[in-house]
Amino acid sequence: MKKTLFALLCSTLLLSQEMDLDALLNKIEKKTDLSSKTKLENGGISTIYTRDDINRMQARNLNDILKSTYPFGYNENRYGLSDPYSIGTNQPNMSSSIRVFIDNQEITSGMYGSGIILYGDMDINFVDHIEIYSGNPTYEYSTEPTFILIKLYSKDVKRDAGTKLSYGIGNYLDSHLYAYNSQALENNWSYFNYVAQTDDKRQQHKSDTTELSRDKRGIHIFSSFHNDNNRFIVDAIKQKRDSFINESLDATPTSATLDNELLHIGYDGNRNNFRYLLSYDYFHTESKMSDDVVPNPYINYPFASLSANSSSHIFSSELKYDYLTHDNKLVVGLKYRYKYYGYDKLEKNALATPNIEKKGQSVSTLFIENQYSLEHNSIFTLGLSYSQVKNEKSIQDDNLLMYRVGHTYTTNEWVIKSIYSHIELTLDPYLVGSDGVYITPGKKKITKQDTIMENIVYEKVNNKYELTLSYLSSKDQLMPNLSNGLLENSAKDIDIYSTIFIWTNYYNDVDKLYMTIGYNQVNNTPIVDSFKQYTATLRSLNTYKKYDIFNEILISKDSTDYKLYYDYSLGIIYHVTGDFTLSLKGTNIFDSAKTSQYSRIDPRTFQAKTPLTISPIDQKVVCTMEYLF
Amino acid sequence: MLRFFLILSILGYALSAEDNYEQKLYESILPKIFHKSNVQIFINNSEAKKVLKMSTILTIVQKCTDADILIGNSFTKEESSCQKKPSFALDYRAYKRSKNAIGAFYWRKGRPQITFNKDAFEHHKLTIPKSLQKYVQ
Repeated sequence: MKKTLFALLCSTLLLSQEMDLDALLNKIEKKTDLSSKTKLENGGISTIYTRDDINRMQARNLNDILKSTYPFGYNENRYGLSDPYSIGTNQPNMSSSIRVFIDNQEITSGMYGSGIILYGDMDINFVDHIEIYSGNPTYEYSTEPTFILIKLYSKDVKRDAGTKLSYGIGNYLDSHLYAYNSQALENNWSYFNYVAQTDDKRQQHKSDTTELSRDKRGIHIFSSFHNDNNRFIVDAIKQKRDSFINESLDATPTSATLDNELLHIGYDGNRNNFRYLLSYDYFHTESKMSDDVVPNPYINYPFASLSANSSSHIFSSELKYDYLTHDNKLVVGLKYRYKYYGYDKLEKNALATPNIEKKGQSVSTLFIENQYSLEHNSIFTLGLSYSQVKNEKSIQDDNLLMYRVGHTYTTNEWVIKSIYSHIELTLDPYLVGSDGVYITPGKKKITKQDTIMENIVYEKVNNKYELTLSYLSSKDQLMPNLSNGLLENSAKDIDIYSTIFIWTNYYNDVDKLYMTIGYNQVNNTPIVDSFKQYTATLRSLNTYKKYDIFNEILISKDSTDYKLYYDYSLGIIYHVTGDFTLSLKGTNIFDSAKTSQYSRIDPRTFQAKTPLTISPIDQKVVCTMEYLF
Repeated sequence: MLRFFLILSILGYALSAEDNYEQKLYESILPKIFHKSNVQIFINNSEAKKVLKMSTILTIVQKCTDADILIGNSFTKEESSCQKKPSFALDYRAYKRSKNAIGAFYWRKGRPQITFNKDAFEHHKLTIPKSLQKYVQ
């Protein structure tokens, strides 16, 4: 009996060791996928794009990812800048509560509140994986109020040692050249250097007879130097963009350009139970626009010419302490950020604005967050954050109190998350003192958003089902006044109901099918009482011999016109050798992706004209070759 | 009682190895190459040591002279007699540099890769098992 049992067990073990090497390599890749190590399970409702997803989707820029991401998708504003919450008015950024991080450091802008305006369409070839958290996620990261947290994790020497070159050319003769090099050094230190040069020519659109352009050319440098406990990051961007509509009242600028420079230098580390960060961000913009309109001399409007140069310097620091016991994790943190910002030059219709001066804004934040394990599979989270926002030379000083309560319950097959959060938002620096330009006069009330989210995940064998339901009520939300387009506190509470169902089917070790069906309803907007939106996604990632095949269709329909929009993308990667790949990707192949509306006003009569409807997603084809050596 | 402990220890091994796919990878390669049920390995890489320390098929030896194969990227600091032994690299560059590297396990483009060098096999009078032929570079 003993011999039989022993023989049986041994043969079982030997059989298990006979697993095919390819299958083992796939298992190793999945098990050591970095996203599984960095994901903040109790940080909020998350969408994860693994290294493999990004590669096979051929996601070149962040907007390739954002366009299908719950709950906001992707949008661009009148300047051609990424601004998912834009509603087509002339504010340069409505999405400052979306924060962008590289590793643990925020890339931000002193004037416009968030780095999303540049990073939303930034090249992401230096990124290993992406995590997107929604619904006022953990306070551990951002110094300022955050509704959506986008975390980009840079590539690492362990998986990307060596040098890679990538060159691509598209159907508009747009091109990109990416290169990176990564090496391990002595004492566990390593570096990762990345450079991208892009000439991103885009699909042209017409407003009456004027051709509108969102082309951009630029260089992006990212460098990381790190070991297990310390990380230095330098991120630098220089861009020359055509700025689409800019501030042209009737959306027919004769010329519109926007040059940007961004520099981020940061250090973060940890020792014992302390985590700390110091960073500096510099952001400079030069905007020029000319338009064939005759300004009214009494109000110096509309703009026949506009020239605005602005810059900002931001210093951020933070100190966090983790106190861990058997069933409790307490994080306490102090953060301080100082922004020095303003216009260097502001000329409207060739008249220089007098007495422009730079201003300062300080944000001091204290937060405490506790995770308590009620049972081995049940975690209760409580967070509290208090921020003091002080604006120099302004009456707009605010104290922001935020809190979140969450519960996560897990079994082998189920994850159930319930989150209630309260978030308070104040004016972005560029809005402070912009009375009559971007906001109506007078001190603005704090925007208060309360959110309830329920996230239920069921995973069994090769299938994962996920349902998210959320309700958001926003009090004193800044919304444009319909008569002048200036932002003011909305008289009515804005309510947003969202739901999304996601099904992921891993039909073998490497292939997967991803499907979503979603519904959003926004009540009490200034334009319509109720805005309804229906979305669906179908994405398949397949590998066949030396080919990786990607298919995606994003379907969208909303109550503006009840027209069905669909964005179909197809990509094929051919691995010629282990070191050399050729790829081809078509995006929005049928040129029928969801459009955005941009208002137009007749400059002579000041009567509203039919809005422009243009998609933020281009119809394009890109062919890329990559060589690794 | 003995039977109970035997079952427990085997089951424990099976469970511990269940998620250690890297260990399984080495265990499925090296015995086939050396035609031995227990292969003596010398490792000078701390991460690989952690991965393979629980293996009952591969035995980690302290002296490189006792090893059937060396696992790591560089063995210039080891005894000169070891420098001629077959090795298995953990980095693509090290694999390309060394004429003794019969194979390598490394990451490239974010994916784990395995490869074998036919010349190094011949140099060490080893034969490449049929099941590994497709990984020969």
